[in-house]
Amino acid sequence: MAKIKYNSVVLSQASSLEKAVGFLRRTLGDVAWLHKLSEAASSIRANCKGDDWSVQIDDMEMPIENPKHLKPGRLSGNLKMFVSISMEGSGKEWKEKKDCIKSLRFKVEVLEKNQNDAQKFFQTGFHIDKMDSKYDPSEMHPLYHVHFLNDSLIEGTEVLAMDVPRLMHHPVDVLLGILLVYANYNQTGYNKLLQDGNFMGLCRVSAQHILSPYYQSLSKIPWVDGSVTKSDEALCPYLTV
Amino acid sequence: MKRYYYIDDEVDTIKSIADGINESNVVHVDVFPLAKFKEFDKLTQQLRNEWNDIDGLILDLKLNGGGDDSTKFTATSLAQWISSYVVVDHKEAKPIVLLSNDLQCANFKADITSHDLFDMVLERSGGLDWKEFARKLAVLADDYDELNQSKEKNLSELLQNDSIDTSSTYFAPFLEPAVFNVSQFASFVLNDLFIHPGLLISEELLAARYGVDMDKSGTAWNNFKTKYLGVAQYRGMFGRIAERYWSKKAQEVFAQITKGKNAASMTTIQRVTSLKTYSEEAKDLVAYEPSDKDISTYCWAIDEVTKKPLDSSTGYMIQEEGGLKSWQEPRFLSFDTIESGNKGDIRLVPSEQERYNEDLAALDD
Repeated sequence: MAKIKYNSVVLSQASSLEKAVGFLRRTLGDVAWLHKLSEAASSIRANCKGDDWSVQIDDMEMPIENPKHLKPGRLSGNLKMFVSISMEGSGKEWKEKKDCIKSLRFKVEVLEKNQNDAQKFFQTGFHIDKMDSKYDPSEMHPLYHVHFLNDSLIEGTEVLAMDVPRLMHHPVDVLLGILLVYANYNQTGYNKLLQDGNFMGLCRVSAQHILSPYYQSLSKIPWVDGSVTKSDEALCPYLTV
Repeated sequence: MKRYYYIDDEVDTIKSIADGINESNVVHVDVFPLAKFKEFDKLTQQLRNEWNDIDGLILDLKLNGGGDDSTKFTATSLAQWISSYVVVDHKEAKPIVLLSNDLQCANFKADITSHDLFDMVLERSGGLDWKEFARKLAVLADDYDELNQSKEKNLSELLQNDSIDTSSTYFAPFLEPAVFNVSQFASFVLNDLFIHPGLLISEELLAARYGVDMDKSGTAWNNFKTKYLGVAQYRGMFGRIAERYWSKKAQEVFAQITKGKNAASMTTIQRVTSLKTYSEEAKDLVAYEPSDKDISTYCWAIDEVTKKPLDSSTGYMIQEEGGLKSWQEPRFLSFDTIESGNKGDIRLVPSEQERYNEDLAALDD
């Protein structure tokens, strides 16, 4: 039996990014980070040999609007945000609407502009990751989780810092990640995106292939013998009985 | 009545075309006596002499073609001279229309930068509606005249929209009356705003975004449009050339009718159902439903050939001449249109062509 190829899925990933560039430029204006999506699309196409694809986009500087409850307040208007994503996907699993993400690291960093004083270092953010085998097994990691960062240093004294919980969170791809960031950090841009049926259409496709399998697995809680896979259980280890 | 000069090396042919246009009685076309001015300098001198007596020019692309009055230059060279002449000599700009029987020739297709020199480009070998052509010539000349006479060159007035964002980069070239280039502005409206969806959208795209099947809705669509969408229609310069709508305003109207619903997040059926819920005028609208039930109805674009609604996430991007500008949306073809071989001379972005080939191959697996 001939092996089914998934090149069309892989090329559709590149196409989605190219389309997103056109849609986002129209909706958000000529934002500088869009060229990184084009580069990522080219990279997917250039490396399209098998059935999988990978995306690596570093430090897309996206505009952050003044966050609520910001402390210190003087940082208002003085923050910048960088978004990065590294992801590998499976064409076969995408096509079959199963968990298609082989690896994921989606990272958002928010920091003070013009950090000249080494004694006053403000930085926060979060990442959404897929656990991989390199993680310390003594720490509980839901398969997909969000983890918050706080690396601020104030007046030469480190703030209380410890691991905050790794909370279950659905995976994201580039487009869902962009939507998530705008939804949380840029209300003006988010409202524009919601009115862009073309961009939302791309996100809808991503949601069908990435969110649906995740929540279908998650909906099996409480775990029932025989109906769960290791992957289902890994979504939230502490609920596994 | 506005007066055009028609310059072509095929004198006999164009005489009958000019007569056909003149029968409309909305614009007058005179055949330029090219035989007397076949040298470029003589021709341009004559145009200088008569510049104030004409309102526009119709040019044949290949003035160096096989006609009796063949010259050694093309319409593009002449249009470039006119463009410079108007600016350097502070003359009033006039519309330039390209009317040719060979727009498919390689030289013209390759010379992309020259296309913006023309306000309208038409193939005369097809079944051109001369009455409609005459009407458009008159509109072009009238609106050029109005642009030339306007002292303030106020963008909100020229575009008939009080809420345009004049801080946008695409409006930047037209903010200073002292350096306002009428031809450049006309090209911006006619070639950028009208042809590419973005700030303005066509009636077909408007219907798609309202979820409406125009053909099946018939007069119900026209009635609905008349009742609600007049406020979104573009009525600025050259607005009588083509029916266009402000895309943002059209979305606002949808939200107003449906008490705040966002059309962008709905299927075509949901949009029309919602319109019917709130509007008596919408009761006879028919939602767009593709014959293949598996095809997405989250349509926010159209197929450029069939003009039918299309979910852009499934469409294939068209290769745009000279690339897309920031305010323009990509345009698309559906899989079915490409597969049926009906895409004409529309080309896909190379990577999209490759994706189509892979999709077709995957279908065969």
